[in-house]
Amino acid sequence: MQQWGKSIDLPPSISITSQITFMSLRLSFDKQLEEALPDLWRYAWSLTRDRDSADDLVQDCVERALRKRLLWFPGRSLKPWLTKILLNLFRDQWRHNARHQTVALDQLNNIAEIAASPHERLEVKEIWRALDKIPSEQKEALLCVVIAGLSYSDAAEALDIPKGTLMSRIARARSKLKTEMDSPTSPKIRSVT
Amino acid sequence: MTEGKSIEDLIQQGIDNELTPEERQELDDYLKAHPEEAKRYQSLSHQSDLIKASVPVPSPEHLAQLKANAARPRRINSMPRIAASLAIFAVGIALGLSIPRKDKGFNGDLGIFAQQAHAAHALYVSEVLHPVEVVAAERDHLQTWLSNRLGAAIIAPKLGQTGFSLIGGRLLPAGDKASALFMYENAQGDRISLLATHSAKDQSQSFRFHETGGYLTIFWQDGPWRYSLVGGLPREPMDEIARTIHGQLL
Repeated sequence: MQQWGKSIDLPPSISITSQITFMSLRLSFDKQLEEALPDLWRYAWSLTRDRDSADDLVQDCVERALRKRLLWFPGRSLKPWLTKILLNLFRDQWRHNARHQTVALDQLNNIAEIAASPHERLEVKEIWRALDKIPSEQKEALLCVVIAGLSYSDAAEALDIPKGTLMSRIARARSKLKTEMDSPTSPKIRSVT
Repeated sequence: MTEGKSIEDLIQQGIDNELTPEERQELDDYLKAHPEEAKRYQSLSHQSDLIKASVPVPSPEHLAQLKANAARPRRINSMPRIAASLAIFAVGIALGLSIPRKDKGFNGDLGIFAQQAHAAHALYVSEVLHPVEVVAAERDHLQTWLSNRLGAAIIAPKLGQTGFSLIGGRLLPAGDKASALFMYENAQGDRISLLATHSAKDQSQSFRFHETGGYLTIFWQDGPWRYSLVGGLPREPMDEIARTIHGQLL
């Protein structure tokens, strides 16, 4: 026999809050999707370091999100969910594809174009090279916060890991990056700040 | 309260803007007292800034294009798709011809049930004094009473997160069975009704929509339970409310 499940309700005393929630539900899905797109694309790019691949990932991600729209629980933030979809797509299609494994140097050159000085250009190239050397789970966690712009809680949700795990992955990623950057084998880089 | 956080956590969270003002103060004080750590903090946060700054920013037009592409079916393998859509079209025409035009949206057993829900809502929604038999304050009594009459346990779903609160409920006939009607209201005075009945047939049907007489009805079947949500709201909030209700079944 089936029955209605019990759930937590808002007491009448905070019905104003629930009203606000209701309003935000109305401009929910499409608006949130639109707002998440730039960060989503940047995250896709940071994982693949390739414009076309980022385009493909974002397009597939949006397509899947639209298809699964009914599964998304209204009132919840959409961005972690979208990020999760994108990550799944990336892991499925991308990581096992050897073709994509190596990042060409000229791609690194393209990245560096945005840098103002030759020194910064070198530094930018160095950091992306270093990012290639850290374990992918740490890289995904770090970029999820730094590039996708998710809060720790949202990033933990997107990556499907506890917040504590997320934080330790980020910390380890940062310290490995620093070790790579500081190591004598790489050209000497000094912080300009 | 920051006692629980290690300095390392404060440093990481400081870079990622996850600190409360008090924690930020604590971190600043610590870094002032430890120049080596301050240097490390600088260097780590410079890393993040570098990464952030070197990722290209897509133009809004480009993203709009990607979104538009995603919203439209893929061109790849379009031949089987065209064939399939033609087949579906043909089946659609055949079905359309075989089903009476009247009340197209309310067909089948479930449709009849949905129609009853629509009628009940239309009748009781305008009642200012007696929209329900048992008011929400007696929720427990309401649920016990309706469960006894329906022959299966039923709980009024809680819709607080959608802005709706329960006014109360009543017992209604649905064919030869009893059904439970729950009515909800939001702060604007919009009212919605949920009609539920426990049918003999154990099957599932996903959401169906029908709009008539100014009310939108969303109805579905989950195992032996049939549900019908009726209200004068647009599809978007109604859809979300229905999913909230559906989610509470689990």
